[in-house]
Amino acid sequence: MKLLIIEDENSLAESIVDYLGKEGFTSEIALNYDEALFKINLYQYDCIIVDIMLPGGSGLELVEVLKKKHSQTGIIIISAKDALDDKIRGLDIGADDYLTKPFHLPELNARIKSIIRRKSFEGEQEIVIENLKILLPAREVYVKSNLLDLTKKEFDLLIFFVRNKNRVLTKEAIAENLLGDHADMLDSFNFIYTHVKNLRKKIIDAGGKDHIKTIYATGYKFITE
Amino acid sequence: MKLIKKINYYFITISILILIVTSVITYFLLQALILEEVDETLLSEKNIVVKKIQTEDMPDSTFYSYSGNLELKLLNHPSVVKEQLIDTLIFVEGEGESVSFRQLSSTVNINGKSYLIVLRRSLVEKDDLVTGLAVLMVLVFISIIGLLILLNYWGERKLWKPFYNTINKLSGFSIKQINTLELPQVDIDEFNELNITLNYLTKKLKRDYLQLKEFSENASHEMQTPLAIIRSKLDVLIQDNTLSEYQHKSINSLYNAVKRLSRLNQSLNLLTKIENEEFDNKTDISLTDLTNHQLENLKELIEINNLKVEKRFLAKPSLKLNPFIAESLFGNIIANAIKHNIDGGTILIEIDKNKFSITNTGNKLDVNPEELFKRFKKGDTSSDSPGLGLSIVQKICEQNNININYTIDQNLHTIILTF
Repeated sequence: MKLLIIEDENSLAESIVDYLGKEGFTSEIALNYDEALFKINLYQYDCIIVDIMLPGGSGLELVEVLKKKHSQTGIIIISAKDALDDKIRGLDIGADDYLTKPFHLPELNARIKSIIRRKSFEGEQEIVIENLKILLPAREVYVKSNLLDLTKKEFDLLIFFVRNKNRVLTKEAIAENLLGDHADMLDSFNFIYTHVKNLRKKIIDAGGKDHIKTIYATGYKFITE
Repeated sequence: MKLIKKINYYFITISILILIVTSVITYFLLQALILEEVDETLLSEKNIVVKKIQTEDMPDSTFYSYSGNLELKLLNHPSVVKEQLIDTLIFVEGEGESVSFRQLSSTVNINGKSYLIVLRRSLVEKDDLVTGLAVLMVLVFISIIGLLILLNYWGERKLWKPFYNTINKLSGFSIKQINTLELPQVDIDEFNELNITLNYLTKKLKRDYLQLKEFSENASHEMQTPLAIIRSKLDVLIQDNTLSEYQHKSINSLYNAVKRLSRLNQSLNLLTKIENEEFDNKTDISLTDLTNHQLENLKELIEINNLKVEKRFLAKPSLKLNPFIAESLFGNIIANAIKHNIDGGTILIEIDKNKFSITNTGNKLDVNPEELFKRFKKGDTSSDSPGLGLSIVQKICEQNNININYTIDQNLHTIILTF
């Protein structure tokens, strides 16, 4: 899987490459508009992460160029501008998602994976981790062929864990993933704790393994062998 | 009071004063002139009489008597020559009243005889003069008023037109509009100057506003990017398996600090945008739908805190709001009712034709609820929320003509919106 990260802040771009690299993505960086345009015209990527404000031009223009060339490429806009207009416009001209800075890398990772899955026909329809099987389109989870009765939030939580397996996820990143903007309005750690506890219990009760490990003070980690 | 009326008021007052003063002066002046004229006539008539006596000796008594204005008397003894002019009242048969006369009594010696000549002239003109003057004054006054009415009419329509044009354009002026206020050149210097100054002022205002807007946007952008870098580095750092518990604790504090800063930045940014009225595409928002939607979004949080939500929808009002703003407003209010609730507490939401009220159980507060609308004011100072939620709520209400009221009764907090 090949990604292009168009971001003028080198250290942010590097963090993204670093984090996504461990997920099996090969990422390239473009630090400005011209470099990005050059790479878009030359190579094909599975997903592009693009900042709106770039030296030399607007990321939105790049999205338009890209849409004309490779319509199959997934596009995620990352911007410090929380301007609603930009968001709407970005999605209007064909971006698949929009993340406002500062975002969590696990969130970006999860969204990239979900976009790539949606975009390609041969994309993963199910995820199998040991005796855990997740059917993505049906939103069903089986443990040793036992269907789990998960709430919507518990399913989302599991997907977020699985997409970031073997990575430490902060409670904050989980809260934002599950609650979106509402995570800001509430002290949601209680909420996360309860949901993780319930999910864990449901998997174990169905005969599954306890994948979720608590990381002291920080959050949780979904461990696979 | 309109400027033109004020001017008229002064003008009329002064005109009346001037009219009165000039009338009085004219009256006395004319009177003196008439008297002089009459006196001269009397004296010259006397000379004619004297000449007549000199040539014809004593003229026959009928000579001047028909008018009754001449009396001629031969004096028995010689007398000293003297002349006397006096005003006198004489009853005139024909008029049936006393009329004022000017009378010249003079004693003359002609050919060794002494005569008393008395000559009179009526001063009726003097009375006519007063009437004439009064009539004249009234006429002048009427023409002045008439002229003023004409002038006002014309002034209102023509002279003041540029001024009212300017006022009209100014009242329609909004700092957010792209086009500037272009006031035309007019042929009245004062209004022209006003227009030029206003053109300059609004251009400057607009420029300052844009600069400020750009600054706040850039400031927010510039702040979010370093925050994004910090957070991403932390996200990478935290994956290190060799981190100790102590290090995890430190990293956790860093995460929290980044979150607070980022939240603060976003809230301030939102407030600025609301203040700048940047959300103007309003649509009809159904309040009951919006409330249900928000409650659905927050369902898990309500469940976790074991809250009981009671809804009383007595009507289905709709509000003209920008959808994003509507969500911010009601999202904030409902989230507050959950956040500041107690475990196992209740939330009561009532919606009526022009009222939305939400009551929740909570802790007693020491501060005045009105204080909580202020920026950075928090009921619980240990909370890491920036304390901007209610400021945002208030700002939105203010700009959309919604009245907001927050009361606390014991441990019941109630926010009522009326619209």
